[in-house]
Amino acid sequence: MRKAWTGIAVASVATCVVTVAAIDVRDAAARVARSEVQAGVEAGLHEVQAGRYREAKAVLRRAAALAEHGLGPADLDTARVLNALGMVDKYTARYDEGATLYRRALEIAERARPSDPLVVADILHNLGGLEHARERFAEGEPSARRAIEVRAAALGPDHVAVAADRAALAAILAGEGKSDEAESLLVSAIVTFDRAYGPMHVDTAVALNNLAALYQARGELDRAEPLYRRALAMKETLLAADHPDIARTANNLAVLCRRTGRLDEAAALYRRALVIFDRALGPGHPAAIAARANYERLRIVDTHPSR
Amino acid sequence: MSERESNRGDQIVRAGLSKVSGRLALVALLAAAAMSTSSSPARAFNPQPEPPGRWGLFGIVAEQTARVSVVNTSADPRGYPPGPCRVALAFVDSEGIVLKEARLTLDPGQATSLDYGFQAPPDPDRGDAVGATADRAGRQDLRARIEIADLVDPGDRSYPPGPCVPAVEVFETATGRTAFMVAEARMGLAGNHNETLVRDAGE
Repeated sequence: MRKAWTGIAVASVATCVVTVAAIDVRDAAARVARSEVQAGVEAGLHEVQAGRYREAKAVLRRAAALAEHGLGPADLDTARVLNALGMVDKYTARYDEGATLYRRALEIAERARPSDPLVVADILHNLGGLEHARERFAEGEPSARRAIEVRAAALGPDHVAVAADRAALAAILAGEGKSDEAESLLVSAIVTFDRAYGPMHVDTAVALNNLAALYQARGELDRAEPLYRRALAMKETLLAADHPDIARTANNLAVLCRRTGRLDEAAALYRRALVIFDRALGPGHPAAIAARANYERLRIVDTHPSR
Repeated sequence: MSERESNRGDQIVRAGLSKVSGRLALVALLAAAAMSTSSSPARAFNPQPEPPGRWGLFGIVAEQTARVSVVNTSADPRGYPPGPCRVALAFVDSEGIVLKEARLTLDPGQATSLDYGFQAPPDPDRGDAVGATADRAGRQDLRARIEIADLVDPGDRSYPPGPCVPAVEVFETATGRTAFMVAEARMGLAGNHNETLVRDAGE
């Protein structure tokens, strides 16, 4: 009888040893996986911010696979990877795939415990941005407004990150033709960016570009031009020479130059934008197609008006 | 008495558990670390030299060679400018004295490099002059310098400033194995913005 009890005790202890050891191993593996996933997201976002989308996608896909298997499909870090992959899809015009990734990420982030409202706000911001990119402005507006609400509740309404959300919403509103609200949001965002970052920051340059585009759409070209030039000069200082953000402002300024009869400058700016778009995004990207159509219009219609 | 024994026994079991699981965890960590080393992306040190193509001082020792290289990454089939680049590659010492240099024109897709091997320290007993060689501790400090002139007027901001990308590498002379590499990366970062792209709809 005593032997039997001893046997049971030994077996119990052995089971405990194996169980606890297995838990330890699983936890250690999860910690390593989390660290790898976070490093992957960081590296991927770095590539996104540098405009190197192919490299970003490769890095983030590896991180996503590791997150799904190592952390599980409900983990907040999995949501972060999916969100970052969605950004790549947005920039490479794979809008449907990007929307699916963002929605999955949002679902995970909203259910995660403990939750992180800033991750939720990031994803909402990005969902709005994706609809902006594919010019479904009205669909993007609710997400963009929610991003502001969520982030302002977490950080306060005057935080610079909330200003970035407002600037993003402004671009959507401008696309919807809600010009006055967009202008007001952009002006206040630029003031906040200047205060937070000083005179040189990419966020400021992008907001200036968008404010200029808004004035241009209203026909206020005299107000638009100096803003475009300021935005372009800032981007040239802050970004790599072949960053697609430079091409956007170059294209926009080219449109303005064409409208004001400065065809040589317009042509040079278009060529510059095309070189960058083609290299960074490929000639089939909507931005490259739009810039090429603008340039063709200049070459065929303006320089050969009889055609 | 039995409670104390039980406690002592419990302590022994936990110590044993900790040892076993610690070893297993260590093995798992090592395996995971090995996997992560092989699968993680290479991340180059990014010093963001400013102006582009200039770096701070670095050192080489015996049996090492420094290489400065540049590649014209342009592959645009439509032949948009800037096209070829004129490049000047050089190594200078800590005084700024040019040790070795080369100048040439690079067409799109071409690359070139300039190597500088370790120079033994001067031996005063042999009457060696002190110059661009290693210090007595056997280390030679260098700076790599690259000047890139696009064939487009650099004042003309209508074109991208240039597709030529430089890098500096130090490798073991005998084996070619890289000791370190500094990739030129004059790049800034942009966030995820909603930026307006204007389409020209005419007047």
